[in-house]
Amino acid sequence: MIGTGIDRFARRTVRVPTHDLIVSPAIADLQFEASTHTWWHLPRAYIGAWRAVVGAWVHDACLSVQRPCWASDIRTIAGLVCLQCGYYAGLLSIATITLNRHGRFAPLHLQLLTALRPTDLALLSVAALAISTIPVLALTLPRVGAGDHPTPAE
Amino acid sequence: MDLLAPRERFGLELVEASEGRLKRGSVYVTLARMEAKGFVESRQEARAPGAIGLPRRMYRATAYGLKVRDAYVLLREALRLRPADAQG
Repeated sequence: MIGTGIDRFARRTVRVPTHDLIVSPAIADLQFEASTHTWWHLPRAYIGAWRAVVGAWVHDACLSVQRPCWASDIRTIAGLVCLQCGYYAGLLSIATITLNRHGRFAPLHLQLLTALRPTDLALLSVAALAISTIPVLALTLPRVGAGDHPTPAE
Repeated sequence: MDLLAPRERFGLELVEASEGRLKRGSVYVTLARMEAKGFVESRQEARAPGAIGLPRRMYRATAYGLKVRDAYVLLREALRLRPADAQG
């Protein structure tokens, strides 16, 4: 059936009410157009359906930002990320203070600190931020997909 | 709102009737926002038994939506008047 793939994809990526109000009518119109119009109308109809999916994402994003609890969520996520960043910064600090450039224990020689270039530090910071942020986001963000509930057509 | 005032329509019909002012990708988002504000209401069309595909969603203007539309038209006309015209 035309539009089933878009529908299945949208069900996994947008909220249920958004799917029902924005994506589902677009798919229904695509299917109606496919059955009543000639085939050269189809590409434009498909683009319209995909644009409706993109519109649904934007709509969902706007709704998420407007949620009253969003500010609290942001603070929690930022706090968890900062905690992990602090942990990695602490580890790096201990390493630079206690190890020499060959990885041997040599407290207060600060060889690693002098050997590090600004680009190395920037890369380490980005890596620490990434490995702090990704697991926090993966664990805290709820699954927004509408799932595989049966459609009226099915 | 002008397009929905006379009768119930579905999204694609609105796009075709708007003569390019509404795009098929954004019409449903616009309608969803209007529905959230109470300007329009929608229902899924009744399907014949055995019909395949998703049912279309039909939209129509609410009384509140039509009042808001009328108020908006009045406001637009009032703002269009220049102060000199209003005094005359």
